[in-house]
Amino acid sequence: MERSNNNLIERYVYDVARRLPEKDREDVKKELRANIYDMLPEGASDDAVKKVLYELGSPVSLAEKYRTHPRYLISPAYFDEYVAALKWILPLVGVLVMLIGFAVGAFDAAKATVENLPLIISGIISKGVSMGVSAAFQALVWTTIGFVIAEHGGAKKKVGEHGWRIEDLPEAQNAKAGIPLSEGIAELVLSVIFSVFAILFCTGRLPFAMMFSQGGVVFYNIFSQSFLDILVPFILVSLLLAVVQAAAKIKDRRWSVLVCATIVTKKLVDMAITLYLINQPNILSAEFRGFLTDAGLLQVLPNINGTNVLIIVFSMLIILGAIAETIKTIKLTVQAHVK
Amino acid sequence: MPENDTLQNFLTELRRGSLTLAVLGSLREPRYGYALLQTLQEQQIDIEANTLYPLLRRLESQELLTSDWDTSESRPRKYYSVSAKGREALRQLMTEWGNMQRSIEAICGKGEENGTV
Repeated sequence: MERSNNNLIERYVYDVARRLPEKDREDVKKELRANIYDMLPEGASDDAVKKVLYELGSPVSLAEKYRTHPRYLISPAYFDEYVAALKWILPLVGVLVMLIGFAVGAFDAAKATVENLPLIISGIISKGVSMGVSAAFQALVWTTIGFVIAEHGGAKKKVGEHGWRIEDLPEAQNAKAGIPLSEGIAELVLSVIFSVFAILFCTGRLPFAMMFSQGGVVFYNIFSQSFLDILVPFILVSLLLAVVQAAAKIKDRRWSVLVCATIVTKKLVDMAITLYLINQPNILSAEFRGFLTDAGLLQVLPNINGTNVLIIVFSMLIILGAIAETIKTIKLTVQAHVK
Repeated sequence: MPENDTLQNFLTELRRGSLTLAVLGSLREPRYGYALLQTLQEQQIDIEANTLYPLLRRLESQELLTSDWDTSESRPRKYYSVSAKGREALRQLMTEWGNMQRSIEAICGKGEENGTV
């Protein structure tokens, strides 16, 4: 009887102590053991021992009370920022890598000899989804590790003499000023898809796109290959800016100065690229030019100082459009910052 | 039920700080853990073993209590008593306790006037 009592008490004391820092364990064991025996009469029954142990509560909660410093992986001081960071990092990384996964899947499919379309599509989708999900998990793990290191590596949060600064307060936002998460993700997806197709087209890997029919069954490219060749770097620049813009929207989810700046940059760069491109000589393929000449369309449009009037009109429209969009973006941002 | 929980939380909050006072005050003469628990419970202090024992350890590590193992009897016992630092802390806490009681009574009225105790 006494033996099994001892055993129960020893097991309880051990279970409490093992949850404590090593330097405290022996002391706590000794104290707790003495206290438990004091609470029991000499030669107490098993039931009496159990009653006392239940009174003391679970070893987990008792150890928690003995612990002087609460244990956090990420303390409340950092938790808000941790959640806020995850909210933009996970969707951004997940979607971006998923798109890369689709591309990798499509690339694999192009190399393989399989002709089964459903199989190819399911292969591409599963590649994208699995890469996206695993990247999101990676992002979760590394973000958490980053915060834990910041927490325990003693990166002090205190700034200024009061521990925080009035200047760091965010601008008050209108409720309407939010940008839904879906908008950023949709932009990201569409930009990547559009750019991939555009690059495939420019490098001649999409023979079925952007052609015209002349008379019967003969198909020709509308654009000259020399023009298509210079297009690819511009598409990549535009894609990069689109990704930055979408990332800013996914991160801030409101009309912040950062979002506004990325949108305006993209609009102006896109405008410059487009203006440069439509003023290139020999945009159209020789075949298409021939077709237009035969149809008498080229002669109808007058040239001013050697430049086709159509190009001048397009240029004006592009400039006006870009300016209008820039103004609209700035207006939305200003509205969001003014009550 | 939730209302009861809220009230229980308020009571726990209110009592928490006063436990230190009760413990320091009771240990002007040496006592071991379980004897102290019984003394406090006799005085209608609502405290459980699993709160008192960790509290004693914390106060000891903060040097408000000193301790001594008595191994002369069959059961070894750890006797706690208040240290000089603990006595000083108790004195200041008691002053604050008096101030708070006066302030609260001035704001809420004395217990008798409210018809409770």
